[in-house]
Amino acid sequence: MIADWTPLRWPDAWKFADALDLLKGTSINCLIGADSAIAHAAAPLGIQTLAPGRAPQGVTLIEGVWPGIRVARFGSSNAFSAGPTGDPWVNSNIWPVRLAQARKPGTSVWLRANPGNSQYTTAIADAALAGGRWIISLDEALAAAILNRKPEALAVWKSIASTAGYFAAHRAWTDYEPQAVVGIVSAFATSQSQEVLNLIMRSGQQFRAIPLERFESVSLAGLRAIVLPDPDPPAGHIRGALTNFVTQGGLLVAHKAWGAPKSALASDRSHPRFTLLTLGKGTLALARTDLNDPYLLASDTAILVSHRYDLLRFWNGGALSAYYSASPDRKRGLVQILFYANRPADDVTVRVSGPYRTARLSTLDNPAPQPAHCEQQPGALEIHLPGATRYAALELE
Amino acid sequence: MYPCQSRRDLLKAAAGAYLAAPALLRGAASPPATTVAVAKCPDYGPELLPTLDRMFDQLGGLGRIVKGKTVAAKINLTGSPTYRLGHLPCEDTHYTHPKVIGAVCYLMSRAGARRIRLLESPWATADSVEEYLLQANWEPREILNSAPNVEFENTNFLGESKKYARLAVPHGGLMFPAFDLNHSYNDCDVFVSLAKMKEHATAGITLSMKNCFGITPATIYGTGAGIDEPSVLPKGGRTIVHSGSRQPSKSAPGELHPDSPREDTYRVPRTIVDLVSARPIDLAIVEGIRTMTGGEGPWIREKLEGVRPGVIVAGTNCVNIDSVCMSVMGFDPMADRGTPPFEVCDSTLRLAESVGLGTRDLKQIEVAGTRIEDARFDFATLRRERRAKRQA
Repeated sequence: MIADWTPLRWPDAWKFADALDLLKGTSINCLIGADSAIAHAAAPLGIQTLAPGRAPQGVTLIEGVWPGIRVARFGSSNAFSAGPTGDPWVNSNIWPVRLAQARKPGTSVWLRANPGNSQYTTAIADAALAGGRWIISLDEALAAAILNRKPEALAVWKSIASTAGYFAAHRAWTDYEPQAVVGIVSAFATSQSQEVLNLIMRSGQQFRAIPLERFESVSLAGLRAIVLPDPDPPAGHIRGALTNFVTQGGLLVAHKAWGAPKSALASDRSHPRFTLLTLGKGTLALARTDLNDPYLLASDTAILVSHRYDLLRFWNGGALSAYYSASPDRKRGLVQILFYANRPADDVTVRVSGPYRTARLSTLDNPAPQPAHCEQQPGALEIHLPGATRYAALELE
Repeated sequence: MYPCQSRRDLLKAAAGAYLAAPALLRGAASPPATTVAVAKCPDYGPELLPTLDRMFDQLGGLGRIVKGKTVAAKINLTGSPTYRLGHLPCEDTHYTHPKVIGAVCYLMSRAGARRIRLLESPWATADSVEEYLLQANWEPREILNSAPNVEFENTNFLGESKKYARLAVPHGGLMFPAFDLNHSYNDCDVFVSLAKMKEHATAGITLSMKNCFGITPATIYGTGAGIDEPSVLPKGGRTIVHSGSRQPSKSAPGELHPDSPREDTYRVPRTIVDLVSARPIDLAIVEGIRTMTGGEGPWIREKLEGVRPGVIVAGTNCVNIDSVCMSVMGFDPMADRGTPPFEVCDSTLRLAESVGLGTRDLKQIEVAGTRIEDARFDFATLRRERRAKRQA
């Protein structure tokens, strides 16, 4: 069950119930921390009020980060000719939302994060991409300016409301299922295992988080690889299922503590940091040293699996997050893309692997879906996005 | 095989160069002039293979160059594979086209090449070239299957060898006396530069010689190079060579003149000449069927445009071929600093000619196949118009 919520942390500056007028025509239907007078006035409008730290039944509340670009990993020393720059670091709440959903399927995820800058639409979209909801939390100065009907503040408020409304209008997308190549099986009890999740996402690999406690109720169908970031091998029955996954043709990336089965043969492929063994139709990749560098593990996984099986490939995308899902009947695909750079990305191309032939594009500025320029390729659709957009949703059929 | 050289060899070569270079400049010996083949080829379709075949015949046949040999071909995959000029595929603008690579492999194999090794130092990665190509939306199997015994190697790091190969600059060097390179540039009988016809922001043009700038491993000459020893993994671009902000890893030969200008427009052309002297090009093929104007890749801050000159140029002398290419592009190969396309940089061609690698005088170069005037695609006029608009 995905609850139909758009939560707002009631600003301290909004002291009187007449501020509820600001919510008219928006999707906001839950107030956090409003006093009893405001709660009383909000109830007839169909707006629920909750105490801080509380969430409705069926909602998991998590702490998030303010999403966006953090620092550059590498820089160009020659602005004119030294070549392209490296990947910027991005903070995102997408993986925590997806992990929370994997731990408690069917529930909603709300996340708390204080504003770090004026990119409110990014914060809303970053949480909503995978079906979560950021508890809209306004900077107090902005909240006061909105209350005082300052034009610039009202423009920001309008963009916040329209962005939240866009995702509320597409709540059916939260029933879509993630399309993935890599499954990460872990208790996710350590920051290291969670960082693997983060960096596998950042490296553009479409993934599924598979918490150990839910392993038995999760299908591994469709996955090409399983990564075990935890040093201790899992319990016997899980080990058996993973061994079966390999013998059926999958790739298992694990610590050397997993051990080489007697029936495994040396693979004809090699890797500098992994011993590769053939087991049945699949491959066992056992780390030669500790897997204590999540960045390296995420990068190595992409190569061990091979970019041949990328579900999404981007050109000119810059700093972005993308989430690929499909309707339960698998007839429709959905690729949501969030661009974090302040300057809009131009001439972005995305190649979507799958059986689709057409794509319709909607954005926060143009929410009505329009046909997108597509080029059919073997087993994939290449889609050309127009410039100047922060968020894009591609509905594929 | 191209022998590894000892320190004594290096000193000998340096001394020889000191004597030889002035002699060349005095005109005591003429730099080589060879035949260059030029052909129109409108696209990458069925006409490509017979066009290349005919061009190699015009050069005296591919068999005399590659038969029974291990061939190493440096292709051009500059920049990240996730950058495009607009929505155009990389191969239509700044990468050597895979159809050209495949056709050349096929023809070399048919001419008797024993082994064909496709080399590149992909941007900031030690991953295989095949994985890099997949990110560009290429299917590497199409190239690997173009002939038997075709393979790729990423030369941006140590690779599959135990040590780097040291290749000395026979004329002593303008910037470096020798380079430490991936073994592939030493473990071959024939070296081919399989380049794209483009302008270049730093070096004016990028043709068969500039393509070889990418043979330097970023582990020694790149942003994240180790101070004493090469780094294990390559990171970033070749900033050490570009800006001269620091020396290469101490394990490799340092600059000859650390007090020389720290300007990339001075350093890059000289480094290119040193590289193609240390690792001579036996066969050069410059592909300009589809390419771009305004720079070497989509990251350049110019008004860039995808274009279709429909031309291929090939030859056995890199200076001769680059001179013909420049003329095909509407530039004067005798141009020097201050004249397009070398408005702000030194001419790699002039420097290469000065150390005796080859002449850039078109009167001395025999052109086979299509006449230059008939093959011309006027990059020069487009450049002039672009810059006039910018100034306006």
